[in-house]
Amino acid sequence: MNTLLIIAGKELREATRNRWVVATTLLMAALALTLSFLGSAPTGTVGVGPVEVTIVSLSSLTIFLLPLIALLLSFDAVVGEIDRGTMTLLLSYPVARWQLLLGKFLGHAAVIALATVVGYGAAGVAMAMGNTAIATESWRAFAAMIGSSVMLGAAFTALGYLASTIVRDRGTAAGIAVAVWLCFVLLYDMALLGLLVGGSGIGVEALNWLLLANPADAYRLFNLTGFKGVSTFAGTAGLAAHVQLSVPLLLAVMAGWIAAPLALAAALFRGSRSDAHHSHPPRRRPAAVAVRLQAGKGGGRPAAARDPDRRRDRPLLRHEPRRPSRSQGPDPGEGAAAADLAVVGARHLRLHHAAGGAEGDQRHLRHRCRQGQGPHRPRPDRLGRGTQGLVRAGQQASRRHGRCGALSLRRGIRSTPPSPPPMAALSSASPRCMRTRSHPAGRPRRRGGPLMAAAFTRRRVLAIGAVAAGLSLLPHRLLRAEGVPVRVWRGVALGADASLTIVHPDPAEADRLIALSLEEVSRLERVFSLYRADSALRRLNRDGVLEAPPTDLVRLLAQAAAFGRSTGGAFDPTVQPLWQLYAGHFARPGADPAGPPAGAVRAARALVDVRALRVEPDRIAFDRPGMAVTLNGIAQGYITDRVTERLKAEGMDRVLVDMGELRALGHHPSGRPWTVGLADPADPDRTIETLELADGALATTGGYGTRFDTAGRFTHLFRPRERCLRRPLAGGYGTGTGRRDGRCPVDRAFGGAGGSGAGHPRSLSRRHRPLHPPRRPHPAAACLRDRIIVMGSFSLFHWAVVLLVVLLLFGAGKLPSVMGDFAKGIKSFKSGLKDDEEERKPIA
Amino acid sequence: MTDFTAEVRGVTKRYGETEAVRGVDMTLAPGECVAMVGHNGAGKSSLIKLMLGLTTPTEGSIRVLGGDPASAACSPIRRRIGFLPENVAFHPNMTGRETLDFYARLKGAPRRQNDALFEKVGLEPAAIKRRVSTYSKGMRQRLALAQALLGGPNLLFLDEPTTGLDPALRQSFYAIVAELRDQGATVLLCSHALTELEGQADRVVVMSRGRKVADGSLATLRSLAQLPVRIRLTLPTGDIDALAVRVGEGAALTRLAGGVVELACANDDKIDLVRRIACDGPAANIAVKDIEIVQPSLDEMYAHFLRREAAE
Repeated sequence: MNTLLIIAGKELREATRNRWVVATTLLMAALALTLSFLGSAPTGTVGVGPVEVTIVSLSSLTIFLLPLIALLLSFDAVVGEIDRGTMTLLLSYPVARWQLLLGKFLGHAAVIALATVVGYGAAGVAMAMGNTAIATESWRAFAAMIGSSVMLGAAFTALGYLASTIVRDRGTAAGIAVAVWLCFVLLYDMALLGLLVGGSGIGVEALNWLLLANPADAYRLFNLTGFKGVSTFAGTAGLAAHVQLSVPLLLAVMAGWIAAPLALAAALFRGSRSDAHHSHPPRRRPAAVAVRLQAGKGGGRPAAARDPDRRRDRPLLRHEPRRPSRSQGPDPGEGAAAADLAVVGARHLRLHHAAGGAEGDQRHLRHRCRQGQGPHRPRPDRLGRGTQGLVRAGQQASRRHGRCGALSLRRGIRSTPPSPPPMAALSSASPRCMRTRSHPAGRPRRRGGPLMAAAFTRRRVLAIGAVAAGLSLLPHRLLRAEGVPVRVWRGVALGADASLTIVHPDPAEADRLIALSLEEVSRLERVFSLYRADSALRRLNRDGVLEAPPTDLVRLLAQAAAFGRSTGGAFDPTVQPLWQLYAGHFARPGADPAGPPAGAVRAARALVDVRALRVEPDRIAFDRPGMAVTLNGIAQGYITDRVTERLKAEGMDRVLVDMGELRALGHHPSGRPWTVGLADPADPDRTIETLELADGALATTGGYGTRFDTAGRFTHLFRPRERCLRRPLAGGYGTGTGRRDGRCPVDRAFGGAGGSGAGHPRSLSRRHRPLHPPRRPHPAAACLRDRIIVMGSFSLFHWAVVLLVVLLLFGAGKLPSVMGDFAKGIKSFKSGLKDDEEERKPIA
Repeated sequence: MTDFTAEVRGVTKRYGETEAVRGVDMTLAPGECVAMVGHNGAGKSSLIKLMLGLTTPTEGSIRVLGGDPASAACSPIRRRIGFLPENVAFHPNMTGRETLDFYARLKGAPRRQNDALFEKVGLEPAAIKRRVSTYSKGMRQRLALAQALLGGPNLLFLDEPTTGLDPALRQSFYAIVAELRDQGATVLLCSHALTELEGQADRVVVMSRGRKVADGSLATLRSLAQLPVRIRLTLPTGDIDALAVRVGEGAALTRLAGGVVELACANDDKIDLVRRIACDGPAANIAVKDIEIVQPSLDEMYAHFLRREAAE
């Protein structure tokens, strides 16, 4: 042990002396600072903090750079010492070979660890000093990122040691190191993508194992899927759900990737002293490692260990499911909370109600359709994308839970303006990028070993550090110069969390616009709110009639009634009596958990009928006494629309409005669409899907938003009428795809929406033809998509940095103008190294 | 247990096709300074590496300080071995002191003695603080010697220790070696500079192409080689013919520059010959101004053994 420390200490000291430590630390710090500034510059993040943004960017960059640095640091470790003649002397000392190897490895790993911890830690400190409050959870994810980065560095250091031990020539070792880097970091993923695209039909299981066969992928998965806030942003939430690789397993794999190459290197190094010596003990080490690896993998699986992790992974800013704010003074008459009956999103209508079969008693539908009125009729093509997203989400959810698709979308939205724009998904596999990525290999070189320690001079390392440091300032300034600060307001509207994100160069003007919007919100709240005793709606419910109603109320009620009619009562604004019944029932201590008595339910249901609602421009009235309406299912969407239109009228073109539902104008300042995370209905803390939103809107709901009973069987989602009586929709998912009667509104909803992009609600009622349940995509294909997202999170800026670093490492002017054949590149690369070798004078 | 510090028995070392060492037997005794000579690639360094346990023999056995140097439990053995490799290299970015500290800690030797060691090998305190990369060849060699002397080794392998050293430095170097030997350490010296080994080595081992071709004290080797002893006489030119007559058939006469005549004769004959030259004889007028007896040098002996080896 002592020997190990002595050698490791020497290695560390040496690395400090030749400024490896300084250079790498500077490089790391510069990159981390750059990305953290970039990440926090557009502060308009909802649901995702700057730390998450930084983690995603940084881990993407780390995957490329850290292995390179680690390999550069380590390829020379053994073969270089032999070459320089220092190894002979060292070996004559009372040091076992494995000790020497391990000691040196520890030293190099310490260099990497030091550089990473200090470099990335600097970014952490910078973020901590920023204005934004950062949750503990984010810090945990950040710490995990640093820790796993160290492991990644160590794994590639170990691979470098293996390369260094296998060969007897530094040039070859350098070549192998470069090849290792190319293979694991670049080509492996591409090959995997190719496999998937090529439709070779590898299953998810195989894909999982293939991902584990690469430490870089294990690292990527760990960072992008291990922590929820991060996966929300990275768009890998879906991937996280697919890839059944637990955090301990991923860590174990990375540890294995450290131990296995190292053990193999030690065995080889040990064996090298007796070339053909038979009396030598057999090389047991690799076998031992294999056993250890297996144990590690086995141990990584226990579900009990996994679940607490999951629990812990809360995002730092979460868009809570809409929950009536208790502080607002519940009105006993109308139920303690808003009757969150049905929600019409800004431009989408969601139906939660099932008119369906007897056993399909728990349904909860969603549909997106055109609002069909007003001057801002969205073009179908604008909505198409989001709709597909919905469909997709539904499919994914169904696949995962073995239930019907559609309904997994629940309330609980995280909207996240992304910050470094991800590379356009598929383009990362395009030839253009292939070319970019293959530069190092493709360069036929004669001036010799780019990775030679000799060529990799201190000056060059320092240059890299300096450039990276400069870079850390540059994009930040560019961003500022571009003038795209983002102003965010967060608060409560209609009893639910709300936010407003405005991209405007002038903060004061942005504040004015926010104030303006809030004014509009509060004006509309005075019309629609069930909480405010003076609201027009409350007066209508109280009196059963309202003379000279506000225009907004007439408009929205008329619209709601139209939806009610067109859906055959699936969506019904007069559902309020049911709400009151259930809310009242469960508010009593010792209430029957089975719900209110059937007679009472029948009586209340008798009052639910949208046809008994008279809406005239100058008068609104109920046909039956005791009726009541609620607009809680649609008002948020209406308000969202009104606020958006108001802002649009003010000339705003890049806005994300979340007043309970979401509507986006334009793109995020980074040029990428706004992104929205969808909560898992089963576990609202998890994100199951991330959608992109540009000039579109999104509305969701979920039974978990308000639950009457502790078991969650009764929620704010009601079945307004008829056969399905008994109890309101329970929590949990809607079901219903492809039910036997084929009348599943879910399918219709999705069929209609998915097909036309924005179907008019009426088309829904007209459609009686049973639709097939949404086709489930091949799981691997879904993984592929997620995977592309993962790769896509590597933005152009990242590429620029990587390219620059590679350029600096390899020397400018060496990148071939044309992309050469890979093998040819390696070949010439190696011969170039050999030439260099001859020129090189012995060191020391 | 043997009394030998190191014992090499029938050792052969093959690297692929090439045989670096071929069936070598050798012993090193305490308090002995053995010189191993041989041209490049003769197997000297290979043999040292075998004895250090850096490589394992393909055939044969090696015992050093009572154990197998290549075994897993060789640490106690290696602590008692000092090694000065050929073309020694240090990590260039460490200072002299750090280097020696590092090796001392590896060897488990007390670092307190480091200063004394530096003094012993003649490294200035100012130089100790500098990085090794700034060292001259001589300074590096001194540092290498200091590291070899760490912990007072019982067995010292010095591979080409004096290459690149100036004569004064060589003198002090051999003084240190002599001191160690007197303290009972075994020293194995490898060198090309055969002449300077004379007077230092108790025993000489001649290696050629992996084989040990000769082994013994200088005197033994001389008698084995039966190389002629040379007697150089400085005398007036006129007397040369007279000398030739007096010497007769017993010795070959060569004329050298500056009125010097060299007589070569077998070792056993030299006393008789000198007597014949010096004593007054029938033609007594040979005015010998100077007489010098030149023993066959290591170089010559080495060349002789190599020739013999080549002839076999």
